[in-house]
Amino acid sequence: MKSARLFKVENRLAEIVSRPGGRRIADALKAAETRVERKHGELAAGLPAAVARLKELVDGADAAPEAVLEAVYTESNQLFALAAALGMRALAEAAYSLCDLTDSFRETGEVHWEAAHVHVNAIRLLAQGEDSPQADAAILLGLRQVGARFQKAPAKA
Amino acid sequence: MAALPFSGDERINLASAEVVLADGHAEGLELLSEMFAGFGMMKPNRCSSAAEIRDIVALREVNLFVIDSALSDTDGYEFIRWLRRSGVRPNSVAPVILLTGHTRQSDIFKGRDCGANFVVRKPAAPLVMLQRIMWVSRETRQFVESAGYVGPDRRFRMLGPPPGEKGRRADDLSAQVGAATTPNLDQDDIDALFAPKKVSL
Repeated sequence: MKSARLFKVENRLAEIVSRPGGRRIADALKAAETRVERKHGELAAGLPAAVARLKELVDGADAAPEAVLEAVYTESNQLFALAAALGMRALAEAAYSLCDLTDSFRETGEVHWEAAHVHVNAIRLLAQGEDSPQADAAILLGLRQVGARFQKAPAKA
Repeated sequence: MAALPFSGDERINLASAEVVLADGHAEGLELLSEMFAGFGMMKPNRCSSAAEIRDIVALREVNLFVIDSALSDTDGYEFIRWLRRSGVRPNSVAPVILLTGHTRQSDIFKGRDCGANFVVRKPAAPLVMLQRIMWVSRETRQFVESAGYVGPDRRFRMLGPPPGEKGRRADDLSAQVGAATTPNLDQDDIDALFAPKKVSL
């Protein structure tokens, strides 16, 4: 076995961040939080289009399953990031569950589009953000059951 | 605001830092840019693809990379793996923070082995990101080059090689403590070590 070579590297970032001036960490954090929050309205405005893209992909899924699976995975991963950034936890969890599902379909080669349809319908409901936490919890419980029913671990090599 | 894991009165100066922010999705890149502008960064290098980052790597000295796992032309793991093996110093050994959303089952090992200093799972809140920046700026881990891995030493604590193994590194010490080679100190000797003594300055 080839041995590993270890060596020290100069950390230029350490020297740069400690230069005189700059911002108090508390101020930098507050400024960053304020700037990110200001973007929330713009991000939220993009949600309906993101959900519509997902629905369109899953509705037309029979045409080219592999390419569609990849596209659904990418869109749901993007939706997860968007929902998580907006603090929409239930929507983020549903999108993450769809990522798990499509990744599992890709790994095992067994595709169950009906499970993806259930996820997209749940995502459309959750994206409206009008339901109570109890209703959101019930939707997520249903999705977990769908995931457990249709999602299989890939066979170990 | 959540409690800070460091003093709020400490200062951070990112004004002159060359930072690459990369995300294949426009919204993610916009959020990152806003966050780093809040941290005081003046020179953002915004990229959506690995090709754009490679152009910057060839031209400038980068102090920090923040790379999303989803880039528009490849994945972030592949890019970081390329960077670590590129030989473009000092960029190839610069700190890298990897951002991940959902991680595919097939990408779990790629994430571990690509050579990033830290992996941050989305949503990356400003507090978490700032904490990671402070951590990488205080990074003291050595760099490792081996056939299967190039990047910062993945051992955060020096616990020695696994039991029964010799270890592959020259500085690996055995976890087994050998037998004493000199007599034990008696209590008077130990007390003398702690006894106050006059010193002349």
